[in-house]
Amino acid sequence: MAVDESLFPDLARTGYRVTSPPDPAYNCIAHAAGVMNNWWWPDPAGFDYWPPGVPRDRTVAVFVQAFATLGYVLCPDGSPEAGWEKVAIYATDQGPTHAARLLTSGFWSSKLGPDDDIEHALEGLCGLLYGAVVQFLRRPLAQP
Amino acid sequence: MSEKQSTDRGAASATAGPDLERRFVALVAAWKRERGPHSSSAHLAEHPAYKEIIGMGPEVIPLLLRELERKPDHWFRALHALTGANPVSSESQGKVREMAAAWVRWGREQGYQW
Repeated sequence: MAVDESLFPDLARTGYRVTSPPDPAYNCIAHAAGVMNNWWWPDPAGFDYWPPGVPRDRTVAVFVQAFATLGYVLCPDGSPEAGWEKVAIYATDQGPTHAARLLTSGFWSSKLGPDDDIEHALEGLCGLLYGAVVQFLRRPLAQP
Repeated sequence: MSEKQSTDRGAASATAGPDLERRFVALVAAWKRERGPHSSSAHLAEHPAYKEIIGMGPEVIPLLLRELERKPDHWFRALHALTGANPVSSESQGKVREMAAAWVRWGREQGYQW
């Protein structure tokens, strides 16, 4: 499925490429967390995975708690730093909508809901649908 | 989880009828095409095509199970709405392929055929 650029007006302008085909088995939050076989969302009805002990509320603070279970802590920006991997959380006034993972190139990797994975500029997904980046997180890169 | 039913719930294509099946296939395609890049499965299920499938009633259960077996996807809310069951273990929450397998197994145990 092609990316619907009409949903992300800045995506084409800022550059992106599709890196894997649609797959409903995982979403952006799982992808940002490095998980490719699970759908992460704080669904109150329990249809989706959410880390045990973390409230199933759609708030930025709760998403920070969810990533903290994987060792992520708050950080001030999304610039590449040697020895760290980073995640950006997007939100609208309704709450978090999306998360992206920083690549060593400085571009970001995202899973678009059940659709494609893409590499993109951080601002490429900002807009009405995903809102804006409201939080950066980082954790030490695992040693080889 | 609802009680196991004794026997035959009917085969998908045999009992659903070609019109129902055609409508179901069209709605599935519309949902997949139009559901959008949302990360909340509840949001995906708010699409009108998804709701219309639920509105088709219990006749559509074998078609959903067949679709789930063929191409695992987020049909769990629809199946739960139509059956009241939830055969997915807490360990499999969010794991779409494991959830699909649990529902397919449940469907066979209940006597659904597709």
